[in-house]
Amino acid sequence: MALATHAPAHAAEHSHLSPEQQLRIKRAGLWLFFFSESILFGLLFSARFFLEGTSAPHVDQTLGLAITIVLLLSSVSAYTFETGVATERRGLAWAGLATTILLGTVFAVGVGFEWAEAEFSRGESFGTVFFSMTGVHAAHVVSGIGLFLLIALQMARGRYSPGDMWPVNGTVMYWHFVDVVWVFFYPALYLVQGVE
Amino acid sequence: MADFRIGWLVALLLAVLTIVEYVFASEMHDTGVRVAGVMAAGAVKAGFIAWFFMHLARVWRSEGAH
Repeated sequence: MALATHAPAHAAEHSHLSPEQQLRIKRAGLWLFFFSESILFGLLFSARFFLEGTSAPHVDQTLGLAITIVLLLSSVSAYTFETGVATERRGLAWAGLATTILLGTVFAVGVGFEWAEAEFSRGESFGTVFFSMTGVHAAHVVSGIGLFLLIALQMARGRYSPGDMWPVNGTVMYWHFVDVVWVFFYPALYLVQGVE
Repeated sequence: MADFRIGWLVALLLAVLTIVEYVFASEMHDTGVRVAGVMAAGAVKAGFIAWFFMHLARVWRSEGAH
């Protein structure tokens, strides 16, 4: 009963939040989401060392380095996209967005290629962690590409301006987060065992 | 324009760190030092991305998105 009495008042209070307060809440929510995702990725990261220590069978170092550079470049293009929207340079924003989608796709295809030519199976402990870590990460990359495609649809309809770009900020931050995860996954999977 | 310059400067730093990380892993034969080195490089890169690209400082600030 008390809950029923207080709920509408609580909702009304929230509806009177200023745009700035709403933005802060959205940002805080997104960072909490990143925190919860970090636990998932952190567990996968620890599993790699728990199961295999620092050893690993042969992995394609050239491909690993190439897809890492591609993903880092996509972070820069995503940043360019965000800055382009914030400064009302639509052409630059479109170029940044298209490049990000393209580089993200190249990364996902690169991971698929790595899976196809892997010299270990998912039945081996390294295979288990390798396919889990790259698979869960690639799923995030693919979902990021999906979000960027939705953003592109909205942008084509004339949405987003410096004062109304939370979906752009949120999606770009998500993309950078996925990049941060790879910054740790790449050495854990490709470098700790040494490069031959 | 300054924002774009910062973006490309950070990108250059990330690329350099990635190459250094790769060369370090190729040349360092001590496993402990190699693991510590590549993870430290990863942590520095993550810090750059979080600070400059994810606008970490804004979490505690009160002004708008840009």
